Amino acid sequence: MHERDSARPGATFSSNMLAGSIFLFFGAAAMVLGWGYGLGTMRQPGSGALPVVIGSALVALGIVQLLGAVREAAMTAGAPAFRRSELRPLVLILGAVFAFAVLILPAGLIPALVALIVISWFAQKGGPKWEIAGAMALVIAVIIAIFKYGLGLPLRLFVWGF
Amino acid sequence: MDVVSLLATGLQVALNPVNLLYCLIGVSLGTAIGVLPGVGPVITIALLLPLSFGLPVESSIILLAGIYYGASYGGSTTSILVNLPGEASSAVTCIDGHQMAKKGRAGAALAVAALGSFFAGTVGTLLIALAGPPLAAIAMRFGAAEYAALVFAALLMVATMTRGGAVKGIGAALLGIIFGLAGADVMTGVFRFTFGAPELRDGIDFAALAVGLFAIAEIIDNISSPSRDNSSTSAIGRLWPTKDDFRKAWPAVLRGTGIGALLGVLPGAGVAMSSFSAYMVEKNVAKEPERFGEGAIEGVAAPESANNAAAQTGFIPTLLLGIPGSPVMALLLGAFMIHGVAPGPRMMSEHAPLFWGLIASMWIGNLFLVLLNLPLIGLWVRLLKVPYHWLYVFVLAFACVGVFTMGSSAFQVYVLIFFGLLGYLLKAAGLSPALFILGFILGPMFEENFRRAMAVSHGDPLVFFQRPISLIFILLGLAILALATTSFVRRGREEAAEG
Repeated sequence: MHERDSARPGATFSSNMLAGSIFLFFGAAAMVLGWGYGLGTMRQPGSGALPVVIGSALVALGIVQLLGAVREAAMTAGAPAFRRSELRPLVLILGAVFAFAVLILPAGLIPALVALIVISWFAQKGGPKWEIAGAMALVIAVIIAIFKYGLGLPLRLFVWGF
Repeated sequence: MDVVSLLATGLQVALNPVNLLYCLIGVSLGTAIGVLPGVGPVITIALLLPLSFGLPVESSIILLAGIYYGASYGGSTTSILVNLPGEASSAVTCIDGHQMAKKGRAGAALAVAALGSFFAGTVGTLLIALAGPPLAAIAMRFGAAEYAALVFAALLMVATMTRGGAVKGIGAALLGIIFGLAGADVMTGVFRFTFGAPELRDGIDFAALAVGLFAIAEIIDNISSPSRDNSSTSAIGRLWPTKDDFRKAWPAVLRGTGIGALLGVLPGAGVAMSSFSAYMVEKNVAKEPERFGEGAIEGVAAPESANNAAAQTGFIPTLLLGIPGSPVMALLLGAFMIHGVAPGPRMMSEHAPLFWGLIASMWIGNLFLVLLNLPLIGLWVRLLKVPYHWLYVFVLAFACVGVFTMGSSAFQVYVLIFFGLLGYLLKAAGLSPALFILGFILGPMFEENFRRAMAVSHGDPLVFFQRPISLIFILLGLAILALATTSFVRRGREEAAEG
């Protein structure tokens, strides 16, 4: 955990505003979807009862949170929700996991891990490029040792191989 | 059966060579990750959840619990030697521990920390064994209404104790509840929030959710924050403390153990708060408080004992009521559930070998830690030199393969991405992922008991206020909420006045 840097008042989408928006979005979604599942009766609360109750509580909290955040933003410089420096790790880390998910079945374990490691290596700036090969060999060896041989899970290293 | 013979049964389970090995792996792994910055017990336990499928339930819980208390030992090692708390709970140990290290007394500080922790761990383990049966007997009498009220109070308590205010805390927990409700409704068979995906009918996979929320989101956060410098390793010096050290340390160990044991039971208070409180108490009772901050041995002994005692007694609400008070406990509860064991008052009788085996293994694990950690300190500290690049690449690979092997389909890996993104958003919004996960675990429990209570009372919501225990829980929850909101409002006004 680290402190988020602050900016000019009123100029940024603050951390507190994001919290309010998250509450509103998921609260409203739970209410709408929950309504469709049936509220049931007092004696037999239906599948939608709790989602609707929790969803409306969340919407209420979201409104309180957003109003507070907007008022705060008008007076002081709130902590911004997103920082530019977070974009690169966010995209590359999630992208690396996505590449793994896409490759694991059609291509096999080793190609999927290679893609994962290469993409995620660049998520943090300044990683010595020549080290990728070493890290890749070590990580892949350890993973195969643990999962395939240690736990005996049926993992296919290459789809076209064994 | 009396406690002694039950503990003997437990020792039999714990001393089984296979379980002994898992205990050893657990505490060693725990120490390692306690030393490494950026990987904590929560991430590690989350990562190992998919693996625990393949192990017998005793072994997997013994392994995961070992990671948990092993991490607090590792955290204290780096706090003392390099002024870098691996864990939040050992942050306060830095203050005096690192000062001692600078004066060439790191060995004594480490030894006192280890011995104090061992003492506290022993007391904590005994407390669970002694308090377990009577508490379970009380909890056994809880009906659905009491349980629903208890979950309500526990969630409010945890939510209001987190930093960032009650609104954010409660909101994060409610958000978790909504995700916890996804899947087929056991009572009606309706598929909730599944969006047509058959993989979601059994609910969101707990391991994929936990790994995404903690490991993936944490990596993104760590990479984007400026890198830390952790080069200043000092010499360890003489390991065995002097007579004077012992004389000063033992009352502090006793007080720390007491405070930790007490705070560990409370949901939300947890390990970090207990070490901080113990330190403050020592400073207040000390004859020469000015020694604190300059390398006072009590300042190491008390918080280290407190966090270990709290780490042990934190198991009491988790095992006996099925209500986890911290994210680590929520993950352990998840691990129990993966194996089809529901922690709660009945667990002690229905799964006696598991319950007592776990307790006995915790004591053995603490012993391992003292015997292994002190001589191997040099080795652990070398772990600090592992570059973060290698570390996070490995964690990512482990996370993906682990989650994939649970279903042998890519679906859970996509779930992992979703919760990685959600975890990032929660962090950006200053919402606690720990509360989210507590809500996720407790939500379905609340719903089930709430519905049962309503059915029993023929739809009369007053049932929650008519039964005395349930009424107490609800009043307790509301009182905590009132307290938190008023202090929140007050703080808000003060901030506004200052701004």
